[in-house]
Amino acid sequence: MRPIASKPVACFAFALVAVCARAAGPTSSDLDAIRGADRTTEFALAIEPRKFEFPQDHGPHPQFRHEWWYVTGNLDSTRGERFGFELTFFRIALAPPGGVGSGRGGAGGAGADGRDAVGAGAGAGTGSGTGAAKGVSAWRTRQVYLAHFAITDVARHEFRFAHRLSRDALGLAGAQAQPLRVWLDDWMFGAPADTNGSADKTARPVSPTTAQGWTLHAQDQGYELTLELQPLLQPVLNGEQGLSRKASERGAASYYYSIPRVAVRGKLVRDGVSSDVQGLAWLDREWGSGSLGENQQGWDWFALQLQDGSSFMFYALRNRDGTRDQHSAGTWVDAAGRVQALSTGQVMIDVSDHWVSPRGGRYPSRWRVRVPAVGLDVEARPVLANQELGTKPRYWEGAVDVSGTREGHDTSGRGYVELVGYAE
Amino acid sequence: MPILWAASIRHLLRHPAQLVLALVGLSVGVGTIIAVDIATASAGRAFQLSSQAVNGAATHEIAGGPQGVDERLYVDLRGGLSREAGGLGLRPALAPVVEGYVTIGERSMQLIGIDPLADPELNSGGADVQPTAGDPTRWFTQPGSVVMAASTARQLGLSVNQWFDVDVDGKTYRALLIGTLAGDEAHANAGYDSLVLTDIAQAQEWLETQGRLSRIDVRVPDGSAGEAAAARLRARLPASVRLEPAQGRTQQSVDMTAAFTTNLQAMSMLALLVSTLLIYGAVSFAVVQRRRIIGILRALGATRGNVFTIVLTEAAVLGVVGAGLGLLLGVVIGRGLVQLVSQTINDLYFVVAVNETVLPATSVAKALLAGFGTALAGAWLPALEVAGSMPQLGLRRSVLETRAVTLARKLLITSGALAAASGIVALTSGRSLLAGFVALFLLLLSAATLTPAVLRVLARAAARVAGRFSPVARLVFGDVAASLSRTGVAVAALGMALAAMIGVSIMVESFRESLREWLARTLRADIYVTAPGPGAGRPERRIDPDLLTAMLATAGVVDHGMSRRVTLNLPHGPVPLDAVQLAHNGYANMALTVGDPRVTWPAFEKGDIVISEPLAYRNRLNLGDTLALPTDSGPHPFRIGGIYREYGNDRGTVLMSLPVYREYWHDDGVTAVGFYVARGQSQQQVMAEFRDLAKGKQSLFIRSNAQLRDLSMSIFERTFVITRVLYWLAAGVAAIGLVSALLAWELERSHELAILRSLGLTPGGAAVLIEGQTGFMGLVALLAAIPAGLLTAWLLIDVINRRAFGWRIDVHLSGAQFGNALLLAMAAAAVAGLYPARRVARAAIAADIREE
Repeated sequence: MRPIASKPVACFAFALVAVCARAAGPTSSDLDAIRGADRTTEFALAIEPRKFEFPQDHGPHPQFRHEWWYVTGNLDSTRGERFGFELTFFRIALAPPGGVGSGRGGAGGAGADGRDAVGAGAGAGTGSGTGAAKGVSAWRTRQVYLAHFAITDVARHEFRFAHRLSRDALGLAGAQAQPLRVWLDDWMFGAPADTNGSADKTARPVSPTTAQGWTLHAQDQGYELTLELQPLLQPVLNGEQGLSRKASERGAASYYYSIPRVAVRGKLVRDGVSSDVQGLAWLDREWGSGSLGENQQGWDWFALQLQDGSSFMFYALRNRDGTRDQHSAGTWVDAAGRVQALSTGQVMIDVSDHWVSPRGGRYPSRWRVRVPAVGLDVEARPVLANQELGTKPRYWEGAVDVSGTREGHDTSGRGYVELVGYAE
Repeated sequence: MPILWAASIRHLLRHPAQLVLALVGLSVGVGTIIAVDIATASAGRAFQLSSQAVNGAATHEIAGGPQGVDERLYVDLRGGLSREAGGLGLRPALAPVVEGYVTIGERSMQLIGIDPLADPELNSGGADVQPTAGDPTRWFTQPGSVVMAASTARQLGLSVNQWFDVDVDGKTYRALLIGTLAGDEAHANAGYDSLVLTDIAQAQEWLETQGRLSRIDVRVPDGSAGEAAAARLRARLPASVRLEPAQGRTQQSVDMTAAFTTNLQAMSMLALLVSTLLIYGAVSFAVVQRRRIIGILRALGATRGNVFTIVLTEAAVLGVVGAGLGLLLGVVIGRGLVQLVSQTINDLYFVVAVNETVLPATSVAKALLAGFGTALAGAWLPALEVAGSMPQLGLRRSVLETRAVTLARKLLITSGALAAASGIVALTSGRSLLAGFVALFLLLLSAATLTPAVLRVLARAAARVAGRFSPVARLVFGDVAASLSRTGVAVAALGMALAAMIGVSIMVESFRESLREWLARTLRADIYVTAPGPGAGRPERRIDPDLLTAMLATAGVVDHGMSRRVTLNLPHGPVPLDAVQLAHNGYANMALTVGDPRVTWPAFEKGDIVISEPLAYRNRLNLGDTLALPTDSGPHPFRIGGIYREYGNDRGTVLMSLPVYREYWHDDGVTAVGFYVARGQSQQQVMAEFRDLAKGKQSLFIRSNAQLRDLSMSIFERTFVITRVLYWLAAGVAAIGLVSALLAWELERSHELAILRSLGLTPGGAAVLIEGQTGFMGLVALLAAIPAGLLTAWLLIDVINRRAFGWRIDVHLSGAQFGNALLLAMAAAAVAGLYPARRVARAAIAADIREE
């Protein structure tokens, strides 16, 4: 889910670019206005439902300010060990697509890498355009990519995370729709890379892979994860036909779809030892240009996959006064793939335990989730208390075990929970 | 033995002038050393700090040829490193850097283009490059955005959100200061003061190095895992780039200046050496004045040890006080000197802005030790002498004078021995620069010891000759001959300073003439056009290609030669490469010192290189050897087809044919062009046309042949300003010594002079007598110094310059080279005589006689 302009997105900040400053309010640069800097176009806003088209919509939507590809999942190794993983790519535009090159980032994002030559007029030299003689630097960008990779190693009681940042330039990081591919350095999600490992996407020969059959690869902190992904469901549109409102402000919404059940299998290398793993993952896709509402503090996001084939997603937006925001919402997908939108009033969540982070901050860490409309009454427990990513700002995103009843029958499952806004 | 101490203190207090002059001499000597230390250390530190600020956190760097590294390499490394490592290898942190020099207002600044997202810890030495004001995303989205230290912005008169001009390679761009470095106070003096930070894209566009990186900073942890990661990285690199330790190049750059700073230090040692003699003079004089009382005390039972201790203790106190004063003086002189030193370093080596001076702790220790040691060494002989004399003999001055006469003979022998030793050291020490300086100091000591002996011989001869005409004249010269105990040391010091001065003058003059001849031979074109900007061999300095075409098509231009100057990083340090395409008959202008022009130049066009004397000397390279140069496709050996004379820089230069360069380095830039103008065509007019062409495009340096020569000469002159300052300081110490000694001597003779006055010597006559004596001494010192000065010049030119810089200089002699020495000798002598002459002329004769 990750509501829009989520602080983690906007503020996973760079030593340099405190984008929060940007996301928090209108463009601060009066100077730019005076100078007539190229603000000719603005970001597109998520205001009304749109028609989703796949596989194009798996790719980037550069006319929106931000966007993410979020894969979380639970894994079992052939050795009987249990793991959780998270691999997330964020695309953050620093300026709207405008001026030269905006055509490349057209709607649908087909083949677009979303990079526009912000610096088309760069060099601003009085020097006879000699700067233009050699042209715009390939490093010019208006977008940056951010990625998080985390592994929960239950047997070892270890949780490790890494984050990377890169500009959308020179193929260092980027996203494309056909075939789907999102990458940052050697972390990637989407169509398998070609054999030579070159990041030069223009030169890369690609197989005509569709939404079926993706791969995922990341490595850091002593863990290397390589998975093949097979969606078990069609994309599920959350909210109002995929339009997910997060606050009452205009544009404080996103386009949001999920693939709640994705079969994964592959290899996890830990300390040089490779294990075969398999499990179930969840893909979340969201893009928009708005930010959180004034009063919103953070959110709790639940993605639970039950044994019987049903899936539950809910995001509880928290107001600063501790109450749940009325825009909180969720989606129920039954075993047959039937989708049911859930409003905030249909979902009851009670916190029964807390975990205090050694870095500071107190997170809820056990929940009773009740959805009478679908007969759900389950408890979710973290598989490891500490699954906090020490990024800036910090957030908790971890694997959970689920047990309880569904329409009176015992059920169990696994899932992922994200807790944002509990720590700076 | 308190009475001894009381006598000592009372004596010193009653003779303050003596004390003050000795102190002044010593503190100037110590101060000079400190000043040179401060100047060189400050420049070195400023450079090191800015290097650290630029790549402090990096452990290694990936460096390429003069054009740097292809940016695709960086992309490939980021994408492929960990995959290759098989999952668990350590991933080295990488950060791309594009750097160059820009000018803001009058100030040269280093432009550092970084990708702040690449690796937070590698960004500019871990500096928090967070702009402190405005919208931080402007770093990426606002073309022209830069960040600098707040203190730098203040110095440039810039405030945040202000637009200003940046000049790069003669082109002007608009820049916007979007913020200052966070935590700025810590950066104020940490090497950030001449840095401008900008996005890597912006840096590429301004420097016109699209597609290239200056280097890739690399950080691996310490220990074996880090080494393994570095080794894996190295294995992935193409042949055209190298993985090097990060601080290696900084060190090499600092090392480049080693010869230069060694020379400065040697000059400062000279001042101290002179002051040693001065202390010797002052202490012996103080002892001499007290012979009577010391004789009495010895007769009353004071032991030799007591007397020896007293004299040395006095000297030690003098030394410590002198060192302390010298330290203070050194700080003052050092502040001034640092500007001269950094100017020279900027002219010759690298761009550095020295904003604060540092006083190294070792220099303080050195100053104290030098002051103390100098004073003790100077006092040793007089102390031994007074302690060793028989009590009753100590009462008689004649004994001392007799002894001084014997000493003069001994000195003559010593002088010969020192000169011989100097010669042997110079001729047998191979390439050692230190040995060269040892030989120089031995020679100067020889000059010092020779002077009193010569003085005595000449004074006696003069007394005999002049005595035939005037008894007063005999008195004048006879007195000088008989007063060696008082004046000998001062004269020796003066002789040494004069020898050094003559030697340095000849060396500088010869160098200047050699340079002038070389320039006259090499610079043949009528108009020279150079891409502007700070820093020699910077790749961003290139003439706009369209502009070049237009200039070549200008009416009146009949021929041209052009060159591309870049810097190659060879294993032993950065070396400039001059790729030249000479004008018609241009080869005749190149002075080959090794190689047959008929063979060398055709081979040069086919790919041989020609290297300059310093490069050949330093690396022991000769005709037919090969030198491996880092080309764009990896190291390639080039055959050395000849060695040529060049004074452009002391690291040496590689000369290559421009087409050959372009074949091995994919760089079509041109740094400088020499245009030949048709006969009858006005050079001024062609230059004016060039200026019109360049207007609004690139502010090129357009100079006539004469202007370029003048410029070269003025850089040369600037380089030797420091040398001059230092030798005048040494000479100043000597002059003070002479004044001090003569003053003491003349004052002591006031009784004698009073008798002469009472016998009818007029006040004017007395003044003439005194001035005559001091003038004579000055002249003699000069005479004695001339042969030593010539030898010193030889040492400086053929031994020290050769060893320090590797080039040969033709000796040029002229009368003018002795002018300064003559001036110094006469001025010192005249000043020394001034006060005694006045005093004697005015003194109440009766009182002076009665004193007895």
